[in-house]
Amino acid sequence: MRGFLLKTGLFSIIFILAVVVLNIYANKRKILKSCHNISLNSEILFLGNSHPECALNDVIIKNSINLSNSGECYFYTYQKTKALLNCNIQAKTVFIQFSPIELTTKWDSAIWEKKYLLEFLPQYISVLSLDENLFVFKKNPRDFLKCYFVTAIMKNMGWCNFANIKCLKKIWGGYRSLERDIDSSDIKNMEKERIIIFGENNIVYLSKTLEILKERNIAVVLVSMPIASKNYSTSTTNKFLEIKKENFPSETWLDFSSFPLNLDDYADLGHLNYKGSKKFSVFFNSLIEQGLLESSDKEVFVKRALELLPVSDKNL
Amino acid sequence: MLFHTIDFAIFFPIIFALYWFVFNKKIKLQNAFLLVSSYYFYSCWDWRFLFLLMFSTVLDFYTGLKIEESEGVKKRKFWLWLSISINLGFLGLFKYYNFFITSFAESVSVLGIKFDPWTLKVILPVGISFYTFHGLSYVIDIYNQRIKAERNFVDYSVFVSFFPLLVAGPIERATHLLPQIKRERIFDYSKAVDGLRQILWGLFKKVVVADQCAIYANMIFNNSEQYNGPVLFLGAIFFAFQIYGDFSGYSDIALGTARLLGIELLQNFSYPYFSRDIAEFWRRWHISLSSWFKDYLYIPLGGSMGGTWMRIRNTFAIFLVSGFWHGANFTFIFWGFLNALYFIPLLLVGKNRDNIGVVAAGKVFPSLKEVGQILLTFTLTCFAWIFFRAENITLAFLFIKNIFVGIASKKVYIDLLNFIVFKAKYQVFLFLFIFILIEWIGRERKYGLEYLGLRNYAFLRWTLYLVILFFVIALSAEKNEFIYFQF
Repeated sequence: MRGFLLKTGLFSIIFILAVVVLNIYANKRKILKSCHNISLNSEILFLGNSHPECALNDVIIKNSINLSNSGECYFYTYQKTKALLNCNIQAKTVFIQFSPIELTTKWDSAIWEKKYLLEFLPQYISVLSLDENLFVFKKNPRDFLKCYFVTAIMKNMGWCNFANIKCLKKIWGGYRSLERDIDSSDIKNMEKERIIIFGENNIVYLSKTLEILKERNIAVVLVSMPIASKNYSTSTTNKFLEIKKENFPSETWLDFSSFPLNLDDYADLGHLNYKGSKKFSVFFNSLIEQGLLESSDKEVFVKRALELLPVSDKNL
Repeated sequence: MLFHTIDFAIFFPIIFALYWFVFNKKIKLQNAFLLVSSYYFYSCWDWRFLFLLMFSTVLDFYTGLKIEESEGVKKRKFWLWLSISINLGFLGLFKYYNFFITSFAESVSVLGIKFDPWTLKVILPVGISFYTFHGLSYVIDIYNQRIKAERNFVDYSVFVSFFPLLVAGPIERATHLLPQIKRERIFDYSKAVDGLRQILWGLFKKVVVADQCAIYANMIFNNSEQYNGPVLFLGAIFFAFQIYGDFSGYSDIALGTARLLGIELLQNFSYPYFSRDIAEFWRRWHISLSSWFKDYLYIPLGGSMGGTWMRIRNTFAIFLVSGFWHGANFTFIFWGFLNALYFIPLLLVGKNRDNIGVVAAGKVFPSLKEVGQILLTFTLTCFAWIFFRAENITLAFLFIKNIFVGIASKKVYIDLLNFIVFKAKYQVFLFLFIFILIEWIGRERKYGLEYLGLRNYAFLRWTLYLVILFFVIALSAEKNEFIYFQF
């Protein structure tokens, strides 16, 4: 029995090591290869989830690159940032989406929930630290193992179809143009008060992201994208402001959530369609051209610029 | 809980450790633990059907005792038929009731009588065909005084519910399995290693061969109207490998798992696609079911002892029942019927036992004659599989008809080439080639991977196992059930 257990154990260890090495090698190779697919020299970088993904058209905003990705929580934004720094990205300012939505418990579970885990973890598996691996493993061991032993290798080796699994979407993300308009059911829900339960995991990784960017002397600006309905309860708003004050007291936060747009500029309650993103991106670009990045008080700079804009019909 | 999932990869090592290290002091304790584990394993599908399994176990255990205790033939017969009726009653209710009632409604509708039949809206309890046959063989053997009734309920329950064979066989016999359950089990290193190797090979068959072939078999069968000629036949070939890889893969995992627990199960497959005639194929395919039908149906009906007509009748009976056992659909019955048609000429000319041994035993290559025989048998089998796979008989016949449409034209072969090059991935052919090669090399052994001449080359052997394991894990992205679970 002893011999059997020893040999089986040895075989298992060799196998696990082989899988780990293959994962790291394949993912590193993939990241390095895909570095060339993005404009590494852009001075402005946008990161976040589907809100900036659909709102910031980096063709309109000069010298920028939007690497936001649908469903990406701060945990994976942090991994992506590490990967981007490995690619030696030259950005001087990074705008990161920051609103109550990204800090909810729902977004916390987007770290380890199967759907997100199998989509995002394989992309950055080589940059995850041991602690981060263990963190995800503890939360969802089953899908973590599936990811490590199957999905990640298949996806990074480019064998997705071969293993009947969906291929990765763009590894870095990018601007997404939505053609649809907001529908009537969304409009009905606009007035509903939104009570948010805040989680505790993503906030840690947002802090870490800011930390590694600052280490490289990259300026970080937190930013909230325009949304059709912002009916947070008072307690939610207060808690959010408290979190901001506690965790990021000195960070600049540009709140565009009330940016005046019409209802037909939205694809749904939280995302701009192409028309809306064009309007917002033109405005954002004008802010840059007027010296937003050089401004000593960016928050006041933006507030003033917003006050000059006409009122939208969305609140009618 | 499927054998090729993480759940089982977690479940089994725990069972293995507790079985050999905690419950190994007393055989009674070990068997009780096996029973609890088996019930847990079964309840992972649907715990409600566990009661059905328990009821069936209690019924056969009790009737077995009663048959043995009863002195008069009438009483013995009563208990035997009670067990048979209740067992087959449950099987019939869950598996065949809907088929019979809807077929009956369709038949009478021809006469203008229309009624909306009440159908059973429950899923088929997994493994019911297998554990019912376990129980039946047990009581019939007691009735025929082949064995004594088991007096230890736990031991008997383990015989019925032993988790490696619970849901898809092999269909064990009390004469073979019960003594092993009662005997103290000692860990045997070489058997355990062999068990692990057989599990690995079973996983390869299931995940790499069957599931990959299933992609193309499904593509062709589900869109058969888009294809014709050889592409359709290629679909049948893919299905032939799918069902073989699937079922024999399951059996290999079951045998390997049982061997790790110190129990030997009956061999269920013995390289059926290297058979030189249909009779040999049936001696090598789903052996435990074929021999069950032979012992409990064919021989009681008179076997081959009577005249020609009796032999023909009995052959048809065994094949039709075997087809029907697979499912409540005319396609399965026709599949059985077709196999009987293939088999009877051999029986009539007395050539059904010509090919008993292993093909080209001791040689590297088969003779040309053997190649021809193997290909012919495989082709016939593929045609039969079309009925097994098709949704209904009409579609199966249409499928076969379309195989021959434009068979003489160049276009159908260009279509075949296009399918192979552009639709099917080359990997599937590579996997099939490797699979057939390993099976051919290992055809004189219990399973393909058992011995590949690498016994003295540990590094090469381990590398091969690592590569196989890698492909098994890598390709197990989709959780495909075993086909035979539905039976």
